[in-house]
Amino acid sequence: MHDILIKNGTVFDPINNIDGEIIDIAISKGKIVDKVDESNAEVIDASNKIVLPGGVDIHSHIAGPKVNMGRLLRPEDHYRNLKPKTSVKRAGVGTSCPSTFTTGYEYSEMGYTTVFEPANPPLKMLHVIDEFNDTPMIDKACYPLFGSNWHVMEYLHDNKEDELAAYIAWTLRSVKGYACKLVNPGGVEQWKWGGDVEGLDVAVGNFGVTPREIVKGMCKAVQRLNLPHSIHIHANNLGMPGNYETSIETLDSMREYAKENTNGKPNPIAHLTHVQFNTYGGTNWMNITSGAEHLAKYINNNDHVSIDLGQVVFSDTTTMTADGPFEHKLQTLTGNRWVNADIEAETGCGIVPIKYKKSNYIHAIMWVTGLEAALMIDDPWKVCMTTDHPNGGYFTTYPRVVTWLMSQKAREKYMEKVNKRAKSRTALESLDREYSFSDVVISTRAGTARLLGLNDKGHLGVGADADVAVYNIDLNKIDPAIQYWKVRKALRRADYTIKDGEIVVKDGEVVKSVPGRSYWVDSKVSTDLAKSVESEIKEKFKDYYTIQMSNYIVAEKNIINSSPITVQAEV
Amino acid sequence: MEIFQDVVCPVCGCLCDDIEVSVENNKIVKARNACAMGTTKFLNYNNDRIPSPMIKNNGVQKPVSLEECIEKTAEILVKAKYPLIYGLSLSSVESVKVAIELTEEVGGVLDNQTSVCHGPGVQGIHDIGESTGSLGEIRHRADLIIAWGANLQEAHPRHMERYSYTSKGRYRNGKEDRNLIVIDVRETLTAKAADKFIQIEQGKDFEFINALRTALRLEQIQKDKVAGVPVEEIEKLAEVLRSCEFGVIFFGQGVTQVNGKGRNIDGLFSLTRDLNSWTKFLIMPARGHFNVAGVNQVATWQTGFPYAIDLSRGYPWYNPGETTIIDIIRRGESDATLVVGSDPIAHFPPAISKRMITTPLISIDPAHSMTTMVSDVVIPSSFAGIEYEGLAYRMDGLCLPLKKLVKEPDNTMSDEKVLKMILAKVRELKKVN
Amino acid sequence: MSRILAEIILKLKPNSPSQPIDLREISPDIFAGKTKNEIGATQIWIGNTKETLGSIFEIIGETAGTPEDQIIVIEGDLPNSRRIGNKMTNGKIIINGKGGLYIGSDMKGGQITVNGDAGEWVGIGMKGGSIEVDGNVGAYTGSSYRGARQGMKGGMIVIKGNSGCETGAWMTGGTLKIMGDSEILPGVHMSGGSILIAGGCPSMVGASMTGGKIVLLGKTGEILSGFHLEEIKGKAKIDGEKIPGPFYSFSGDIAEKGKGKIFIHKENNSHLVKYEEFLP
Repeated sequence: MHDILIKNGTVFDPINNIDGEIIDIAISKGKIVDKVDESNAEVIDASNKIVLPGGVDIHSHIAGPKVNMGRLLRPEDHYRNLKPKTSVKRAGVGTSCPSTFTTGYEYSEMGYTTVFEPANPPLKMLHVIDEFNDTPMIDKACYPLFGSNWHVMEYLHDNKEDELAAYIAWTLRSVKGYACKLVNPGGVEQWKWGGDVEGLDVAVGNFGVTPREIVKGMCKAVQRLNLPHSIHIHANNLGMPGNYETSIETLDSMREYAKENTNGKPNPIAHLTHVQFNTYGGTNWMNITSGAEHLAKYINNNDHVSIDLGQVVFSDTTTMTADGPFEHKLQTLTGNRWVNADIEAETGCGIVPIKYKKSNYIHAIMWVTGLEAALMIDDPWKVCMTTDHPNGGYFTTYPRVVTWLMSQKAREKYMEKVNKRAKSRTALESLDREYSFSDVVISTRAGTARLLGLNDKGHLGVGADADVAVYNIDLNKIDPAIQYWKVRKALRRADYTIKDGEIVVKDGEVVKSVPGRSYWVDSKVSTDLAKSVESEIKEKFKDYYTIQMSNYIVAEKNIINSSPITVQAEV
Repeated sequence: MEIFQDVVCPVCGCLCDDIEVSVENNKIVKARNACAMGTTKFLNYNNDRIPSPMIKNNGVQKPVSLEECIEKTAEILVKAKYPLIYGLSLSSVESVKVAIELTEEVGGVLDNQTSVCHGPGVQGIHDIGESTGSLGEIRHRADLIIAWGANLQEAHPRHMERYSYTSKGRYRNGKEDRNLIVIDVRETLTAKAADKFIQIEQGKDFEFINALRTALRLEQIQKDKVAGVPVEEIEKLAEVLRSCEFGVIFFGQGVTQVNGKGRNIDGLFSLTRDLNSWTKFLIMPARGHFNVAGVNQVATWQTGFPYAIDLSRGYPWYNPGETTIIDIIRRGESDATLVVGSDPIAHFPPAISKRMITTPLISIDPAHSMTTMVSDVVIPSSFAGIEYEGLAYRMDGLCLPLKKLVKEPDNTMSDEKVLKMILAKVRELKKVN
Repeated sequence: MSRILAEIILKLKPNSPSQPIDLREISPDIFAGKTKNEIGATQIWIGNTKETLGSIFEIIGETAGTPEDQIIVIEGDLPNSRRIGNKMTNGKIIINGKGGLYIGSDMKGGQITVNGDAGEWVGIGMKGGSIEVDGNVGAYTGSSYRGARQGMKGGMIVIKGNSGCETGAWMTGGTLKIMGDSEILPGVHMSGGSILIAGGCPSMVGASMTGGKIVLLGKTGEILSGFHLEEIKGKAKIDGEKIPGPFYSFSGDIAEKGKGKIFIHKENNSHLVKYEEFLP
């Protein structure tokens, strides 16, 4: 592996307070270094181009049984995008549910270097890990689901906080998970009898805990375990008119666990995901509207929360989530195909294809809501740009979404054919805020890496992983707010993507395939507690599951480039 | 003596993982907890092994070195303009990955037993979707279990005690809390054990499902009988389905491989979806081979398609009826076949088998079969889950790790290793060309 | 002003390959404006190898300036071909021989005639134009790509012989005529359009249909439970043409809450007289 010197690029590195300066970036042995010997390095002339840390996606459904069912469901979606093999790339397919090789290549060709998969049952992590093994080019990790987990609900019911924390630590270590995910907490268990959550303070049947108790208990446990990423929550009531109230209530339940800011930046203890789907006003499908203003006000006044957008892009895509009851509702509303998979003792999932149309009032409201949230929340360190791929839109539309953040003109153009009633009932048209490049980098790299606790990613300081993207955007000639289409085009195909110090993409095309890493977290709890909880789990195992406990555990030998992050728990 | 715990049984789609295997002097002497099928495999797998790699010379199979077989196989595949690679339901996931890569490299079609088995179920998913779950959900919650065209007692002997009718779950205490209904054309052992057996006429599943769905909508059926069953009984059955707390349908070849095929399962998936308006209902295929589900899983994530994957043009393409092995051979389009761990010559329609042997045929298999007996090249391999480790998927899509229990015979190796050798040789030959 | 039509003939050379031949490049839209040499040099997939049209066809005749004026004649049997006439919008293709799979896939206009049998998926995803097959066809005529749930949308398909199963699956518009017999499940999941079957069909006519109509002149077995007898009609209309009956007019498929109509010839299906007691 030779050294690399990226010369004369316009660098954006918000973590290190670099905002569009012309700086050389030196790379050696997979890391950013202070300098290299130019005569002994590959020199990339980045004059009139921008240089960013590689993209870090905090929430994208790219691997696991649910995504695979989506692939299986939609051969017709694959036929739209057939990717032949090349001398470097394996064959693949896909638009909203791409095959694994194609997923890695397309992300890398967009300059992304880290993508985290946000929801899978612990029971299925062996499958997830194997899909990660076949997803090249990017570093990966997964957030196992805990929100309708029998152990979790029982520990919470019995007020066994320490045991709950130890159980989470055991699970993450055993199945190689990175963070804790809650999806419609309690609701997926209710769905197994055909129901759903009936209120934040209504106990989940048979377990005697409320969704609020699950949210609070899990948030606290995650903090005590010192996990690198906060609790990651898909709130109850997703998709329902008026649900912004549930979101705010959910977030407010955790306010007592707030942490101090550092260096003027917040340290959230909770992450509310794809807020767009959970931030509607109104009371029914006729008067549903954007509730973004209310959520934005709350988030602007509270530092304990971060969010990602889940922005809608008008397209033919696929909704897929652990929120089983929601997907059944969507099936009933749309008459579209429907996959449902309930997973014993833990969680479930649902999948429904959807075509978001500009002319449709509800879809238009959804589209507006996401952008309003992005534009009304002041601090970009709290706002991650996502489409909840593929729920809102496919990840290859990220450049388009970025132009909506950076350019009012771009929003106006796209909005031309959007449902008039939706436009008139919402504020988006009047919002003139435009994200700077720095804001965008925070939202797609620096901020996301920071929220995930990935200290060596999302920035270009010495010691950082050499995950870099060079884009063909000449800021002397292009004003992103005006020539937004040029920005979109450039962001779609990176001029160069560098992964761990190797050039893997040139001119928007993969030139070298690399496997990437799979991160997971090992939170060390006290030995006695760990032992006693493990024997409790063992005792319950035969009753809860249909497999042996030893076969539940994901062996490290099954993981390509297993990369554990060890932390010390406070319990 | 060595005792292995938590062994995953490599026979049927139940993938029971509580087998305790005792090994003495590299021989399996006991397989505790295994059913009759599992025990038979664990104790007898070593019979009828293919003793040596072979190449057919002047119509007679002659022992040769493994290297010669690999070379010959690679030559055949490189030369072919539309080669087929078929089988893999008894191979590990890792082996399947190499097979996919090989198919991509030689520009051929990868197909699998799904094509002649649960393929119609897959087609049902494409058009309707599927309301399903993991087997534990059934054990914990199901009070109504329907076995449709599936003889669980004989094809999946431990299914009832581990996952369904007689199993004990959090909310159900075995068969006293459950109802088992069998819908089949003959009174199977499962039917004999059931609370109710509904016998339907052969090949009339679609008509029966249609009648059931009509009755479910409380609409009149303008007939006396459907599929030989009186309409009153169908209406009663609809009521039973609607009024259960948690129902599940397990379906098998009895309904996937009869008149109607893909649309039978389309009908069952639609029925299950409709039932979710009134109650909780799931449906699951009772997969046969222990890793057929695994082939579908890895093929889907790597290529987007679950079986019948045509990689001849460099990108994955899929359409059962076009890219399925039987249809390709029927049209006489293939010019070489590599079979891995399967016996298509014995099981395919005779006209297809006859055609199959008119083009070069390579077989990778541990034991003799009709296919190996007529193959031009035979490569003996080892048994997954006994002689080599790897991953496999249960019928409900759960991934489990297979163990290596004994050392394989000297001149054999895993499908994974054999396919890797072939792939390497193919690449070598292509460079020369 | 008269148009100048140009006819180009592709004669299949002897010993043609048995592997799949991808002929999506054979379309008036693609040929118009090209020279014969360019057409001969057009790359096509034969199995896993890239060859040229000229390697398997002898090419004689003329190309036209516009697709509208282009006639393509194919001489020879091509049962292993795929997608002749793919996405065409105009012009004419005549196949004197067996037609292969996916004839006229995603066609928007123009005309295809097959003087011989054709395989499966004739007119898959068709939006307009016409296809006529003077022979038998395989399954899925005028149907949908898997998962798309959208079959034939417009245009006309006429099969002079018999068709395989699932004729017109997921049909949403257009007209499909089978002059011979159809195998099971014609019109499955149909929501619009019309199917005429002049011959018989063993069973499952109109399975899962939600709209559209099927007219069956020959004999069928049992009608699905999801269909209720509404009336006896003297005539049935297909593509503006009135076909004399009388017909049993059933409505269904109730299993899908469907409001499609199937017209079954009364005299040829005397076993269906038992339904008459249900006439409203």
